[in-house]
Amino acid sequence: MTRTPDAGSLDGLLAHAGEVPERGARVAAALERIAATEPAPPGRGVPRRAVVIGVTVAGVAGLLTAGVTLSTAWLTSPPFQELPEGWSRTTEWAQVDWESPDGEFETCRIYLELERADRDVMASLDDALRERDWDDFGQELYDSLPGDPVATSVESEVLDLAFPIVYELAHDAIPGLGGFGAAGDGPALGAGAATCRTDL
Amino acid sequence: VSGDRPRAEALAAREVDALLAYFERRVAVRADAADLVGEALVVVWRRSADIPGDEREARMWLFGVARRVLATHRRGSRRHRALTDRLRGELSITGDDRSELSQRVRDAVRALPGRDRELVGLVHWEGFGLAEAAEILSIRPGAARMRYARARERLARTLGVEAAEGQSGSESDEKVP
Repeated sequence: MTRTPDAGSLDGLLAHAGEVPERGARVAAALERIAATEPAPPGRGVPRRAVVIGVTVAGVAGLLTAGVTLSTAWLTSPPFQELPEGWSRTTEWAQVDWESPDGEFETCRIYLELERADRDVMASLDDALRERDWDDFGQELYDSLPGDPVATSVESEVLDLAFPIVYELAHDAIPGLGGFGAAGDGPALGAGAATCRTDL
Repeated sequence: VSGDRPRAEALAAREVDALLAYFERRVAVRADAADLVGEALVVVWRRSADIPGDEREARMWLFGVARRVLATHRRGSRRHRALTDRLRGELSITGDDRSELSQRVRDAVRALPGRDRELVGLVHWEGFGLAEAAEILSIRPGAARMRYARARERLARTLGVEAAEGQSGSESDEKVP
């Protein structure tokens, strides 16, 4: 049962301090407008973003989303629940590091997951990931973001830019590699999975 | 796939007022709350596929987003959007009529360690149970109870009142008050 706290008690003081000024009609109207207005994705086309989200949903059942928001140590908690049957994940990764203007350092790893890939294909892809120089890769992406990136979404924004580049690397490394969800007998991209940490 | 736009819109419509109140209670300049509402909703729209189907869980998820937006604001990062101009203007005009006592209480809450402060706010101002607040903050319920009790004691000392109450969260999902 809810009871009204005594005004002089700690609960009463907290309740009073939590009151917000009464909303005027104009504030209410402005709020309604904001709630009903979906902003355009900042600075990038819809198709590319749709591809990334599509992979998240269709490919790894939320795994990417969990990875993107992880702040736990990836060595103990890789992105990285179980893989679907017939999928393989790279052991190498794309390194995506950046530092914000206020000195906060963030580092992410993007792994790739393939369907129907044999050992040779995975080895080739690991080689490509290992041999690419990832220095400055993440910083350049971060610096290219429009405006003042907000930390709550900056991971997503940088990774939205990074994923297609890593996918492109995979296509270059594996001739004939199928796109996401491609049917057939040959290897195809299944997903990208990222995990990030801050302030290492 | 472009997320779950209808769910995001429904959540925004349902909670936008509470979201504004959340930020108003926590920022020094009331008009800043407008930008933070806008920023939180951008995250909601961007991550609409992640919104839980259950309304209560969706609300908890939303306040988890709000908490991170606020943390960013406190680090000095911000983004101003045309979308929130009108609300910012209205909040500036109406000003802030916080009483001296309320301000003192808020200052005392603000002086608590980060998670303790958020626990107190989520429980007393946003109406979450202690277990729910713990989940939003990603801490264990037992740790939340300990932090909450410690925060109450500290607030009581600062404000010169008794900490004792019947709703301090010995039951993990108890509402206060």
